[in-house]
Amino acid sequence: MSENSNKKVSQALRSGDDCPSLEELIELTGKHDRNIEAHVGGCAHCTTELALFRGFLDPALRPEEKSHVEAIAARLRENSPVPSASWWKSLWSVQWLAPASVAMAAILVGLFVWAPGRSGGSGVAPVISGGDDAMRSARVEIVSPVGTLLDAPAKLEWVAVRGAARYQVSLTEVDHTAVWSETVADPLANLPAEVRAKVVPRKTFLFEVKAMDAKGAVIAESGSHRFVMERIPTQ
Amino acid sequence: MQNLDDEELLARFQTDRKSKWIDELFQRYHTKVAAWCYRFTNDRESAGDLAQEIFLRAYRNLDSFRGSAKFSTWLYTVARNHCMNEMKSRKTRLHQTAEALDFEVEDSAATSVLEALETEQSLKLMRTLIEENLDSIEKQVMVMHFASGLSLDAVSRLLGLTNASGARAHIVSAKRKLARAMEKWKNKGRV
Repeated sequence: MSENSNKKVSQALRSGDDCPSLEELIELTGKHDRNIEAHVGGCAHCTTELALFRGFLDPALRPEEKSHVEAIAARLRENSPVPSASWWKSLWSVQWLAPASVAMAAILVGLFVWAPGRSGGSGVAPVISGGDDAMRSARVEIVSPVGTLLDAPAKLEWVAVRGAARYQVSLTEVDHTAVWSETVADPLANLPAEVRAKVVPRKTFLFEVKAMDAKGAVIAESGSHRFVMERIPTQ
Repeated sequence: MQNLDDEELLARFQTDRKSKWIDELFQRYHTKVAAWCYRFTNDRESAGDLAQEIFLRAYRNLDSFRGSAKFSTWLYTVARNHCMNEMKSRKTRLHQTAEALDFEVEDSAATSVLEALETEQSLKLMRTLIEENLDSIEKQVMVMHFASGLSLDAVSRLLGLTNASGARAHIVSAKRKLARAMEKWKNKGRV
C-alpha cells in the first residue's frame, strides 16, 4: 500500500488546476487580491510556495550558515556574469555618437557606390560581409498571440521575413522551461491540442520565433513575447 | 544608484546596456540566492556553482523580463526552478526516493480513502483532510517532501526547523493525524 499511498497523497499535495502560476501567486498576494488570499487559505501547495518565497526574500541566516553564505556571496561578487564592456562599445553607447556613427557610415557607403572611375564600377552596391551579427539584428514581428487572451490560442502568427526559408518557433513557461517547439515553412504555426490544453488561465507563456535562411543561419529573431489567458469567470 | 528600485535599475540597463546597473541589481540578491542554494545543498562548493548558474541564467534572460512582476519574483522563479531541477536530476542519478508515507492505519481504512482518490472529487476530499487536520508547518513539510521531492534535510534547512529531528518529526506527526482522519472518515462517512 505504501507506494500507492505515496503517489496518491503526493497528488493531493501538488498544485491543482485552480492554483495560479508561481509568479501570479506572489504578485497577487502582495496586492492583497481577495480571490488569491481565499485560495491560499485552503491550499497547502500555495501556502508552501509563499513560505518558500518569503524565506528567499528574508533568509534570516542562522549562525552555522553565515560563513558559508558569505563565502558564496563573495564568490558571486568576484565572478559577475555581466561581461565588462569594451572601450569601443562604451564609445558606441554615448548618446550622440551612435547616430553620428550611423551617419558617417552612410556617407562612406554612398561615396563608395558613387565614386566615378572605379575599376569594374558598375554602380552596384557592394555586399557588406560579416553578415551573421548584422543580420541577427533584424526582428521578427509577432502578430499574435500577445498580452491577455480570452481563450487558448489555436495558432501563433508573425510577419514573414524576407529571405527566410523556415521558422523555428518555441513556447516556454516564464522560467524558460520548454513546452513545445516546431520548425515551419510559413509564418504561422498551429498549436497542437495537447499544447493548447497546457494553456490554462493565469499561467503566463513566452513564445519566440527565429527566422532561418536556406543554410539554417538565423537571420531574424522575435525575442520573447508573453501571453496569458484570462481566468474564466466562475459565474 | 542605491536609491533606485530594482525595476528602475533594470530599465536603465535595458536602455544603455551599462553593466553598472545590473551589477548593482544582482548584488542586492547575492546573499539571498547564496542562502537559498546553500539550504538546498548544504555544501558550499555546489551551492556556489548553483548560485553562479542562476545569475548567469538570469542575465541571459533579462530581455524576457517585461515588468509584469517584480524583479525579485522573477529572479526567485529562476532560482527556485533551477535548484528544484538540479535536485531532481541529482536524486535520479543517486536513485534516491522519498520516504514512504506508510500510514500507521489499518489498510482497510486507508484503502477506502485511497480508492476514492481515483476521481477528481475525491482529490478534493484528500485536500480537505490535509487542510483540516495538519498544522501549517506539517503541510509545508509534506508539500516540500512528497510533492516537490526535496530531501528532509533540505526541507529542514529551507524552513529553518531547529528541533532535533527537523522535518522528520513533522512528517511523523502529519502521518498520524492523516491516518486518524482517514479512520474517522471511514467510520463516520465524513470528516
